[in-house]
Amino acid sequence: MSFHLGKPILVMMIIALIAGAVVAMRPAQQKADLTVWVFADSHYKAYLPLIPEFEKQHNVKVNLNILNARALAVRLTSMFMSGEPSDEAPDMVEMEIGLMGRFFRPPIKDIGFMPLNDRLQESGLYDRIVQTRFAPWSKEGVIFGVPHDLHPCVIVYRDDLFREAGVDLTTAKTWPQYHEACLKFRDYWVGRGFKTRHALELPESSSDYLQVMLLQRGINPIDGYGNIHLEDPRTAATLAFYAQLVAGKKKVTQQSSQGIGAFTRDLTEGSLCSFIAPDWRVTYIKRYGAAVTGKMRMMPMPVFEPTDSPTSTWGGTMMGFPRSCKNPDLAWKLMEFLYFSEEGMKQRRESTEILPPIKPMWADPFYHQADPYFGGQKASELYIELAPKIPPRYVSFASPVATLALNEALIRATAYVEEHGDHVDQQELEANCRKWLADSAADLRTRMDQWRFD
Amino acid sequence: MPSLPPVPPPQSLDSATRTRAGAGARMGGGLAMLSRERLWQLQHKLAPYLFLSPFVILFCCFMLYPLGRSIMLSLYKSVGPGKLQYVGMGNYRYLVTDRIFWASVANTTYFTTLFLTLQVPIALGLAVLLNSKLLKFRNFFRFAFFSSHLVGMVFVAIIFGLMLAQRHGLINKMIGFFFPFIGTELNWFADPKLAMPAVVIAALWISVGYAMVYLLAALQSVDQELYEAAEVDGASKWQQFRHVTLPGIRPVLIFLILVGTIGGYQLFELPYVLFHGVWTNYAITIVTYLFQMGFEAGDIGYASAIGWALVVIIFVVSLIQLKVARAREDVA
Amino acid sequence: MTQTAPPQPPELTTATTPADVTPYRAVTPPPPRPHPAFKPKKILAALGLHAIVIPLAILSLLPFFWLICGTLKTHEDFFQYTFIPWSEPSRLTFGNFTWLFSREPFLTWMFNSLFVASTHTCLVVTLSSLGGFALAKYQFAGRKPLMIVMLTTMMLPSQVLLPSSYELMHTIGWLDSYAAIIVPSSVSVFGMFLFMQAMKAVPDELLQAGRVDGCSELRLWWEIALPIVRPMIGAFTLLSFMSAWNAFIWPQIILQSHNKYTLPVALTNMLGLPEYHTPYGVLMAATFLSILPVAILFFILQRDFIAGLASGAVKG
Repeated sequence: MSFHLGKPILVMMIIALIAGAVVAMRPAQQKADLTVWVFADSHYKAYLPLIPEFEKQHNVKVNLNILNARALAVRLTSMFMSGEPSDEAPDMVEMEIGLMGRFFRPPIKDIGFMPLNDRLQESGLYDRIVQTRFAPWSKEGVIFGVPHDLHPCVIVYRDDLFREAGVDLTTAKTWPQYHEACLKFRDYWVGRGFKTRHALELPESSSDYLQVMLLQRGINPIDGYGNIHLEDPRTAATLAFYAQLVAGKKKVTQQSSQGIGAFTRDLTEGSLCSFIAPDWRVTYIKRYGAAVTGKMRMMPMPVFEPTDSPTSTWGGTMMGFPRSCKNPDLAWKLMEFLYFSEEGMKQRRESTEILPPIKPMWADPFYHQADPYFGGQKASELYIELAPKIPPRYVSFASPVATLALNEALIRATAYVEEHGDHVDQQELEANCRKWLADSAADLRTRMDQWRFD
Repeated sequence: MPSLPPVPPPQSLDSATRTRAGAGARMGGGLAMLSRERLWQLQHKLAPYLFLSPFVILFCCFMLYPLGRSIMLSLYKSVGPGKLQYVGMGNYRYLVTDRIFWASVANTTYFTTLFLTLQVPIALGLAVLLNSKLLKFRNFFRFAFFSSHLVGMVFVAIIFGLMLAQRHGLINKMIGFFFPFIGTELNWFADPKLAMPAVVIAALWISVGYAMVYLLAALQSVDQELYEAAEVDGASKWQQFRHVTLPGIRPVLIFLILVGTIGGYQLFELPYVLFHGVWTNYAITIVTYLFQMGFEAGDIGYASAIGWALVVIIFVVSLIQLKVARAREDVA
Repeated sequence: MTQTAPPQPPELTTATTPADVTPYRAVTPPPPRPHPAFKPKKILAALGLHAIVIPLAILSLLPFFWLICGTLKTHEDFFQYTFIPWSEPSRLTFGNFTWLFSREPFLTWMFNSLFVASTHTCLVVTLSSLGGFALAKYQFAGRKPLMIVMLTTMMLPSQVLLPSSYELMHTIGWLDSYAAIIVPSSVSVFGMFLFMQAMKAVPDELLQAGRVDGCSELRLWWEIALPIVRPMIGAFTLLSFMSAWNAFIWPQIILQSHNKYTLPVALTNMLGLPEYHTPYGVLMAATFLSILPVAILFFILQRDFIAGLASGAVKG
């Protein structure tokens, strides 16, 4: 009896059977006692040598997997949503600050990570870590992650070029003073034919660094309790100031170029001469700007008001423990080992200069060396000095939308400044900014009400 | 389905059935209770139901039930399956004021319009070229244009995601080569004005060949005598095209536009992969928003509401298109 | 379940009819045409035509070429050279492929996709041809209402069903399983209508004769109807395989385990900043290998497929 569905279907059935057999006989992934997911290459490299030691000490098997950040967030969301831990569910996950917000939408009892307040208190970590650093990883006071870092922000600048222009940046203690100094810098260098030499690097249409400045003033677009601060008059004032930094007659900035080798060129040629840089960015600047070693200096950030913080924070990673974690005590021990043990700290020091969040560790001589890149300045000491002053940064499930709102307001503000050229009326600009921000805030408020689930 | 012993119907008796009937008689037991003829007629009557039953069962479970359930779900808020909160019409009330939703509608409409405006004329032009009797290797060319349709949307998006890279991607390099005044700096992913056009480019690559194959077949089916009659009447090539070709392929054109519209509004894979689901107002489409709200934020209730809004939008747009098509037919 | 096959008008018929049904017609061959005179104008027009069509065809095939070039370039060279380093062919490498197979379970993903797509195709073709046969060749109570319901659902965008289907899968415990991908999608209303149309070409007399011979209805379907609609089976096989192979949104929602991913989901998860570990060339290699199976299938089935499309266009 012939097969009347036809040869193609016959072939399909054969393929289905063979492939099905392969799929069914696939060996299950080796069940480890602990599965750790990370997304950053540098962290992966730092932890890899530490794993065998931990395994030996505790006689367990640990799987360390690296995924790309977005895929990690997507899979974790999917796992938390379905509520059923699959075989592959991790016991410990590193999560990036920008992707953290979505996990905070459910009510606290339904958040996929374990609350850690008790553990942190018992182990004493709560007191040893800079407290404001728990902010990004907590909702309404409940902490869900152990901070990996602090990321204090500093100003990195080409001291030689500024001095040649007759400017001593260390005297610029406030942002308006900094702006004046940059204008003097610009006029000097443009006058000598260096049309592409810009005093400060800032993006024109993305509000990331605007938020860095707002954090200095203690303003989060959305705080840890769901309050919106876009309508704060200081927000509009900062926006107006930022818009005039990046556009119009008083523009002193340029965004960094994209592409391989472009950043190196910017640094080497002196096209960009000062940066707002968290400590991780400083590592990049040192790597790509090796040609200007010794010519750079660091200083705290200028402020708007004396009550502002001379530093800010941007970026960050935490270690979280999904509720499905099979062995929380063991996982906690591994976290302490990777993050805060002697060996862990040694690995961290070898791959990066990122300051650990634990205050007692700052005494290590590694963080008190003179840095030849900065002409002998003790860079890490500056970080240490600024670290306790880091403002709290909160992330909410609506943070991406708040960023979107700030981006749009920034685009409108810069358009306004460009239009009005020499006749920028400060009052009018600020009034407009307030209007735009109020509009966005209203929309954000209704959106958060809609999204809120209690 | 086990085959019943074939019961010889009253009319004929060939040797094969006789033997099988004999075998059936020997089986005895319960089968002897039923008259064989009744059995045969039973299976004849039940056949359509039996043939359709797997389909109908699965259809009810996996198509009708979710359909009804999604109406119910749209009345709830959610953070995941099993965690629901009743909000009545709240989702729909919010949907009407949701700026991101309306931005997605605008983007999707912009995409669909731009896409169709380019796809149909280009495909028609190609079909006309390929229809020419002067063309050699027609099958090769047809395959060359059609082959892009075989590539899945996700894979196309991955390829174009790299091809559209600023400065180094193939597309920007070609633009810089042929149009030096534009240069290679087009930032397809960050420039709000270029986001949807980038998606259109990828979509065109996939579907122009597909539309062309349809149109080619339609062109080839237009009655040659009509052309000859037109030529006798003194019509130019262009007039022949307008008055013989276009009306002749009208059904296919309408079909392509309708199908293209419906498909365009359902656009998901291309923007999702090209823009990595970034939160922007200029790259989000309706289904992308549905996906983000339903499966990244976890609110399957609101996502269902968005789904029904999409149903309404597609229905309205299709209705308008059909009305316009019918009206023009009356005019023509 | 939410995989969209490229939509076609419901009234699609096969272009071919079996030889034993077409009556033989005696036809006198047409008189031999005189050889057309050598026309320079025609040659110029032909050259002009090809001068337009050939570059367009090249443009259409260019992304494929670029893809293949990309699979052979190292990460540093990827954007450095538009296609390949013509002058330094030694820079080409198969390293991307070795990277792909050693660092990622690519073979696993390939088998997953093969399993899902082939099983889906077998199921949906069988069910659709059975159902189409029933709808075309029988009058029974409930036929009209069923068709109306089917037609109505066909006009709905499938995305509206995604959230509630996800909830359903969660309830019955099919999350992260292949059952959730294969079973719901085996009902294809579109396929039913395709086969219903195709089955109309099966002559009723043949079926009656079969019944007279004592065939059961199932045997009628199997032995008489299916051979007649074989081209439609071929076309629909290709369509179903393609749609299951390329399906993204539903598998992305359902599959959670790395080892269970199908190719589109797996490749999307590999996207990200290249510093974070997937070089572009590897992505291109993975994409290239993912496209091959469908291309091979198309080569085998293309006659049926084009015939199916073309006749549908004419009738549509």
